[in-house]
Amino acid sequence: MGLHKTFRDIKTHMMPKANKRHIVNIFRHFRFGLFFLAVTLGLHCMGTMPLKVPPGQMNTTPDAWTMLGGNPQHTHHSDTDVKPPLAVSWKRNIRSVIADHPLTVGPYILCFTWRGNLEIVDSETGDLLSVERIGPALDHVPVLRYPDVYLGLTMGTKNLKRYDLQYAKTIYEVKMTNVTTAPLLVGDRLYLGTHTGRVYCRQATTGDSVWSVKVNAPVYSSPALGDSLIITGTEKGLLLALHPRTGIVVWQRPLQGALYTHPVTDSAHVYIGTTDGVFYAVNLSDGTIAWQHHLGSAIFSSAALYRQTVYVGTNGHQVVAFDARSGKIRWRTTFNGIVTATPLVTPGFVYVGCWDHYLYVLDRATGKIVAKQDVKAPIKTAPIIYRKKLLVHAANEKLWAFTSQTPSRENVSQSPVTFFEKRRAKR
Amino acid sequence: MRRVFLTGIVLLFIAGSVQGQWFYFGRNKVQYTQFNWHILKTKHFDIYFYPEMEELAQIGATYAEESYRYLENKFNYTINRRIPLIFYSSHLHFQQTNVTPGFIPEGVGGFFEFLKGRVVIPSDGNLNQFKKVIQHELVHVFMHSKVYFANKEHGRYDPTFPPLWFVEGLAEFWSSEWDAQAEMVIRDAVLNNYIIPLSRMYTIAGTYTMYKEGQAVLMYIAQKYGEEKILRLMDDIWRFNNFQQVFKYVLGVNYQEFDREWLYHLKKKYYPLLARKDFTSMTTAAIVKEGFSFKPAVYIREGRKKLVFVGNRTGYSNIYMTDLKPLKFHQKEKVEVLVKGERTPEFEAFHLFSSKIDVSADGRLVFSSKSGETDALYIMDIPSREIINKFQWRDVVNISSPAFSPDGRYVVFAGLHFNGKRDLYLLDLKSEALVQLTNDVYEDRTPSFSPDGTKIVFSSDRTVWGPRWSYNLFVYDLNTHLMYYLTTGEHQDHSPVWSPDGQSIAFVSDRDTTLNIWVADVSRITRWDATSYRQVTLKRVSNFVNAAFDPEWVDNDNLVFAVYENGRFQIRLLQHVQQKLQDKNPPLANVPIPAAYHWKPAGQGAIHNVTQLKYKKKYQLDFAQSQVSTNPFWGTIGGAVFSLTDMLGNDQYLIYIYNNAQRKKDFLRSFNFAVTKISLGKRINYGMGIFRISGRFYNARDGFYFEDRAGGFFTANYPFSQFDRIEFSADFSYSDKNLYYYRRLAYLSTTYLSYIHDNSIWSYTGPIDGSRYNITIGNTYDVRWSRVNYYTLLVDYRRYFRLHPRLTYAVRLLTLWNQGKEARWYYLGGSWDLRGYRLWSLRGEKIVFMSHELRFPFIEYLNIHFPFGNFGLRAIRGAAFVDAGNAWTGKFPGLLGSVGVGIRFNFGGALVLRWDFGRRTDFREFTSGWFTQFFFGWDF
Repeated sequence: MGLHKTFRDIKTHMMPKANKRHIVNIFRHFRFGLFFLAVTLGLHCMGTMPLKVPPGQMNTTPDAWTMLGGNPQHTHHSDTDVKPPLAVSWKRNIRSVIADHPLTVGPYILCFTWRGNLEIVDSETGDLLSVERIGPALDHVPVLRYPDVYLGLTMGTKNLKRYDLQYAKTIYEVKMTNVTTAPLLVGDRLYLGTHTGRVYCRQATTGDSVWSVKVNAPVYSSPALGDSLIITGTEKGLLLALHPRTGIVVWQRPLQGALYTHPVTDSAHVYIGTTDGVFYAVNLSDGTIAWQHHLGSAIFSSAALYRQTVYVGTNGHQVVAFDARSGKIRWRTTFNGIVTATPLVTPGFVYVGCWDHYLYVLDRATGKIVAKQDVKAPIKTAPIIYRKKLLVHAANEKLWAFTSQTPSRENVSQSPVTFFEKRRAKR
Repeated sequence: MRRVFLTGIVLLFIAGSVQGQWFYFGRNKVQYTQFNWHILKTKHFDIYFYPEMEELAQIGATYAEESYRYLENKFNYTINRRIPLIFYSSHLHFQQTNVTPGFIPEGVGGFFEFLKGRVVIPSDGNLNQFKKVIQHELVHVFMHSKVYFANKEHGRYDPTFPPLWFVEGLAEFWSSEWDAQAEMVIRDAVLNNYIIPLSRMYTIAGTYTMYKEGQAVLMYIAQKYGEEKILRLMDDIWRFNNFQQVFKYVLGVNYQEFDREWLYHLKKKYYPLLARKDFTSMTTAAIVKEGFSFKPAVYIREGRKKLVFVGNRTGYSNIYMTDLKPLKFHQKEKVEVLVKGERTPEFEAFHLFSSKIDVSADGRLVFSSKSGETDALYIMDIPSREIINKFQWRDVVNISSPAFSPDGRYVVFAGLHFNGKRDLYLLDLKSEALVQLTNDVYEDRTPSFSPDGTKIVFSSDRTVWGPRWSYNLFVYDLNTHLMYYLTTGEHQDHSPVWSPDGQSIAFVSDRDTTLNIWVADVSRITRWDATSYRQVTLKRVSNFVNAAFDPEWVDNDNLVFAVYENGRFQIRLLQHVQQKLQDKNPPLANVPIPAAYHWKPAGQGAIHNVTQLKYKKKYQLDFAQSQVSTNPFWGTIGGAVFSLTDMLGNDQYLIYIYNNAQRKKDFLRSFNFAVTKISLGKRINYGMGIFRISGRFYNARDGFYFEDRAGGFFTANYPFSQFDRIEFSADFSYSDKNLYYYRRLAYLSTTYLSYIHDNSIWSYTGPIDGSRYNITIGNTYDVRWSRVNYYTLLVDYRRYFRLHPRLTYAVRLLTLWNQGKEARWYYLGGSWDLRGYRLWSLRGEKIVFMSHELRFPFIEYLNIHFPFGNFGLRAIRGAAFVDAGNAWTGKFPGLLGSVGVGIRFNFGGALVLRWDFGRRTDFREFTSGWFTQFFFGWDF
């Protein structure tokens, strides 16, 4: 009260009499509203106020990324090419590492980081619209069914969370141990694995448990859907096919090495690589090994699948393309760093994020490098294409958006590329 | 007071950057060698080397790139910067590095430092070891970076880092295989019940046992839980505030639970060995048991057998002699010191782990020792105890395992050349000519003559199994200059010695997983050729559960040898060797040699995109630190320190700024700064700079006063050896001193000259042996008005008498003498010097002081169990002292003194708490009450 008085007293001395009463009255009547408005604006400016994503803008397009690998089979492909030469459309600072790859909805790019933040970026301009802390930490990308996001958190006690993007609020939090996989959403069922060595099936709407299976080792291999089976794997190298309704193990296949990558499926096979450097195609029908290749280095990159070809990166600095049916190697391309992010495949190209700070564009048919782009930091996050923009995140640094056309003068002036970078490029 | 604070800050920041020679005492890191540095740029590394070792640098570059690829795969991680690798071709060169300010002991094989991420590695002539150390240090680089980013990427700004056992254990585990040496350490610890469980690993932090136990723990984790768990221990480190919780999270068991299964696993593995093998202490006779004893040599004079050996029984390494007679169980050893080591520039280090010694038939002892820039070969006449020859060559940096020819005319030894290759050399003592017998990248070691003097047997990794870190034995024919395999196979065969009758060669080998003594029967070989090794039969003559080293024939039936048992190195006697050779077990034959006769190390051309440049100094910021403090009396004080160095640490710039203004208008008047350049790259170290020190000061004579002093200084020191140096310093400054009763202006010139000696060795709470002294003279005068003019003399002498290995009598004599106009005052009193008197309560232009102290062990280990945990203190030491001294100006007032006892605790290795109590005296009577003083600081 004393403070208000003081403020009013000061104003009284400074203003003409006619206006004075009017302004004081406004201030008095709306003081709480004004205060709230100021706080709200302040929080928005600081990026700590969650952005509500209104439903009107959610014209979900076919190229939207709503789950790990873009679909329940985790094939990680796009039907749109971003042809080189690449031009920087925009870039946005995003600290930490974006888990797996960004998700997209309407005009927004949703970046879920290892620190447990959700950072929402405008896909056209690269403007950071919101930063919200949604949990202590997460290892993998959530699954999105607008307006809800289903998150598996990897720290704390309530590790399954349903979050409403439209109202920016938590619908439920379920008490469970650390979730170490990306959730798979099929119908109303969520499938996920935990550090304590269990695979869970939970009801998406309520979070209630449907079934759980003990698999005796931590599960880091995010479940995929293949031939109506839930395919996952354990750290001890056991590949499992579970019945989606009952959790009964339909088949299991011990593989050589630990599984930190997620399975990728088509109608016949599961494709997965191990830390012992062996890449497998396992028959979905009975879990027998269709073919396998020893690639000589550990595999921490999950595979991508497109038009009967499987693409996988290795710690031996390579991306290898296999014929999905026969297992025959179509090509191998070597880079200058390890490849742990899943390659992105499009009709014409394969986009590879490498730890040597480069994004490589390969000819899909031959594996030949047709372009490369320096992003100044290791790439641990898989690239995606959304609304004709190729998005790739350099760890602890920037989310880059590339387009295929040469930027016009107008675009350049809007682009946040700095003066010094332009000068460097010129040189 | 403020001056003390200021000096303290300056000393503090210098302490982090320079060597001991810049302090009151301390040994010197001598820059004997001028290196012409070049840089080899590979894909991931900037490799610093000097042209003499270019071939080795090329090989090292290949190893580094191979290791990088291997570790990228293992860690699932890539380093985000270029890694500076600094190579030295020998350990003696490595000890001269300025990358770290501290001394580098012989046991340190390389290091990784955090300021610039530099990796510094010497070669010792062994390429496999070189490769291992490179990979070991790169594991540190990868781990440090991975853990740092795991914390950062998860938003942890108070990061968790793994403990030392994990850091070093992983570096060992991912850089080398489990070898006979690792087996020796762990097996001995398990069988003698001193294995330290993981939950108490901190008690052996930094020891070699910790390295190997860490490796053993991680091996067990990989075997039982899967190697991927090791990666997870790093990937998940951000989740918790301490590593024990990470361990529990990843493995599902805590340290105590893990210990239970790990120790049980070790016992299951090693206890059954006792059914088949024996401790050396149960089957052989002890000759030397105390201390750490190595490298036996036999000396027979007038029928009396003597044992000469290298040992460390007191803290210093010496060469000893004793009777070669088995000791009875409780018999006290009698040993005589032949050569005192580690105290003088002549005998700085005997390389007791690596270099054998030998005695000729006529009683001459040959040994090597570091002496200045390189090793020297010494020959001593044992009967007269005199050194009769000293040989030293600039290009032969390290001399190892010299051995006499039977006629005593020649000495063969393994020498490490300036280029980093270890080869065999033959010295003719008569003509003093040195001949290099081998010249290649393979390591040749521990040579020994045949009884007829025509052949040399030695151990080498030139074998075709060399890339797997194997050593076989070879025979070098001095007539034909050809060499032949004596032993073959993927084994570690070391230290061969021919028997006096020439029929057998004894050596140690890990053929049964631990190092035992074997004998090669060469009696059937009449003429050596490439197929002779097929006629050689091998038989094990010892069946020890622990490791044996360096066998030496006493006669044809007895061998002395060194052995590692119960954590110590002893020398023992193996009797009845011929009988053991005749037992029913069939001898072994050598395996055939594959077609490829030698292996070739990867070198130049194995890596691509290499460029070579000459090194140019570029300065980078090492650290910047600032501090602001507010005090109701002194006001707000703020300052900052910056340090810039070049990549090799040879040149350092130290910039210091500081302001102590109490009022706004005093800001410029109270602005202090110092800019110093220190150059450490040459033998003469020097520093120079400019300064301004201005502010309010206090001393007991003048009270509070304001002084503004600005000028420049130069300081230089020349180390004669590790132990002695001469120092010179000069500064010239303008001084404006405002006392409350007058203002004094002066142009001050100050010059000091000091001679400093220090060969002391330290224990937990201070020096226990050796001596150190500092003699300084100087003067300060006002060159313009002569308002200040005084001279200074300082003599500080400290001597430590070792009455017993654990009992030291320490003496200190100090005099400080200032005389002249405006002479400085000195201070006395307090636990640092004259105990029982208030800190600095005695003051004057002159000081005399003497202290006598008996230092003895008091409590070895004190452990208090609380309900919430344990609290332990190691090595609590006791002291009894008598101090005497006084400070005065004018007439000497007589001595004051104190008598008392005290105890000392060492906290964490760096902090010593001293607690003294006693009585004061003026040497006529004692005061009635007791005084008590606490102090944090080392004994004098």
